[in-house]
Amino acid sequence: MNNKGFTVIELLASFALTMVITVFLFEVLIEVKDTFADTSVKTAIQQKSSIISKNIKTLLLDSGGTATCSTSTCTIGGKTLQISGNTVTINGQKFAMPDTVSIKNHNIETSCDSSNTNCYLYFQMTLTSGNLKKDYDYDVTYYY
Amino acid sequence: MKKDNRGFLLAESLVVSTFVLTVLILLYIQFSNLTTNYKNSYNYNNVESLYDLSSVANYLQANNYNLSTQLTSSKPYVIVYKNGSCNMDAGIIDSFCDNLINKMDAKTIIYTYSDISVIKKYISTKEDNNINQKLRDFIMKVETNVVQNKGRLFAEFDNGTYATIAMDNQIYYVEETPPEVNSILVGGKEIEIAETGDGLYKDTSETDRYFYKGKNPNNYITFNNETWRIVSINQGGSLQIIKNESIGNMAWDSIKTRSWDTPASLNTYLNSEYINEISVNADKIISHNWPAGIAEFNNNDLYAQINSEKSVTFDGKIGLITASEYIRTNNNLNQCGSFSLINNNATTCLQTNWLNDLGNYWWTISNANNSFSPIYVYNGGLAYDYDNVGSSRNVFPSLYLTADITLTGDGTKDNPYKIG
Repeated sequence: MNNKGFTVIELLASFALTMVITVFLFEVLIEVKDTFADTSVKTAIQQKSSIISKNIKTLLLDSGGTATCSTSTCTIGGKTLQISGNTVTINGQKFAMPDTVSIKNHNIETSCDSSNTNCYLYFQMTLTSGNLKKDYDYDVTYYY
Repeated sequence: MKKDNRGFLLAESLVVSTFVLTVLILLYIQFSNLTTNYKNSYNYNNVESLYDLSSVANYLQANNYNLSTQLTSSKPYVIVYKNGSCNMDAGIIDSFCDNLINKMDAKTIIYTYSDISVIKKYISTKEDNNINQKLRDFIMKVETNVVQNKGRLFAEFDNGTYATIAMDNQIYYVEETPPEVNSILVGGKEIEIAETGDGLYKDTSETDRYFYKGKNPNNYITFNNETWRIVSINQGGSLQIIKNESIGNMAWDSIKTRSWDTPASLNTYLNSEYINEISVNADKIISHNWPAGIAEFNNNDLYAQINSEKSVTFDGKIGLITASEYIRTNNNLNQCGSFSLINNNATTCLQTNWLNDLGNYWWTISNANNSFSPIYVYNGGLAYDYDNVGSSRNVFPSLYLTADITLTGDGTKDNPYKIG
C-alpha cells in the first residue's frame, strides 16, 4: 500500500494557487458589490432628478420668459425654485434627495442674450454618498 | 520503505495551470462585459444629457435654423457644435449658442436625418474625424424608429455621456427620402457606387469589397509609369490593380508539377524578377494572401468557388487575378455570375467584362479541377477555359496598393488616376 501523502512543495503550490484564485474572486466580488451599490444610488438620483427636471421645465414654460436667480433661489414667473439642505423646492413642492445622498454644493444661474430672446437656466448640484464611488455632479442647462 | 520524492510532472502542472487560467479568463471576460454594459447604461441617454440636448433642440427650433437643407448624400450630418463653439458654417452665428452649449460641457453635437440608418451607413463606410470612435459606437448602438419629417441630434459630452433625441418641429422637414450613402473614399477621391452600367460596384459575395465592372469602367491608374487598371477596392481601402498590357507569354509552371504556392515557376518569376522591374511607387505595394485554391470548371456556385479558392493561399506581392475575380468584374451577374452561366452565355458575357478586352489567352491564378490545369481568359467561343500548366499564355500581373495613397485624375483612359 502506498501511504505517501502530499509533499511540502505540493502543499505549498496548491495553497499558493488557491490563494491567488481566492484573492482574485474576492476582488471581483468586491468590485461587483461596489458597482451594484453605486448603480443603485445613481438610479435613485436619476429618478429623483428626472422629476425635478420635468418640474423646472414646466415652470419655465409657464413663466413667460422671466426668471431671476441667486446661487440658491430662483424666481420664475413669480414662482420659486430653491435648493436648501438636502431638498429642492419647486413652487412649494419639496423633493428630498434619496437616502444616504446629500447635496454637497449647488448653483443656479440664468443668462440671456442682449435682446432677451434666448435665455437659459443652469441648475447644478454636487451630490455625495458613501455608496457612490465618487461625487455625482448633476447639472442641466434649460433653454427658455 | 523507499521514500518517493516525486513532485508534480510538467504535464500535470501545465494541465492545472491551463485550467486555472481558463477559469480566470472566463471570469474576467464576464466581469468585463458586466462593467461595460453598466457604464453604457449610465453613460447613454441619462436624464441630464437628454435635458441638455433637448435645450439645444429647442434653441435651434426657436431660432429657425433649418439644418436639413445642409444634409447631403456625401455628408449626411451637420455639425452643430464642436471644439467649444457652434458651427458658423452651418449658419449658427449667434454667440448665445456658444454660451448655452458651453454651459453643458458638450464636446460634439451633430444634426442628421431622423432615419439613423443613413448616418450609421456613413460612419461604417467612411473615415471622418468629426465623429470620433466613441460617438460612432454610441450611434451604432442606437435603435429607434424613423420619425417622419423630423431630424435627430446626437451629442457627446465632456463627462463621457452621450445622448440623442428626435427634433420636434416641422421646420426640419426632410423633403426627400434620405439618400443612400452611394460613394466611397479611395485615396482621398470620392468614387460613386454604380447600380447600372460601367463603374464601381459593391460586391455581393465578400463584405467591404468593391469591383470595377462593365465593358470599359473608369478604372485606369498610372503605376510605375505604366497603365494599370483597378480591379477592386478592398476592406481597409487597399486597391487591387492589374497591368493593362501583357508582360509576355509564359508557362504557368514550366516544371509542370507545382501548384501556385509550392511555388509555380510563374509565381517565382513575378516575385523575384518582375518585381524588380517596378521602380516607381514600389513602396506602395503591400503583401497579400493570394487565393490559390481550385476553381471548379463549369461550376454554378460563385460563393462556393470563392471559398474553394481561398482554401489555399500564398503570401506574396505580385500575383494574378483569381477566376472568381474575373467573374465578378462582369456587370451582368444574372447571365454571367458563375462559370456555368458564362458557358451558356459566352457571347453576351464577353460584352460586359473589361477584363476580356485586356488581351487574349491570359492566365488567372486559379486551377480548374486539379493542380495542373490553370484557367485562362480568352475571347473565343468561351470567355474562359483551362489548359496545361506548361502551355504558354499571356501574363497580366496583379498587385495590391496600400490604402495610404492619394489619387489625382478621374480614372478615365485620358486622365487616369495618378498616385500623389
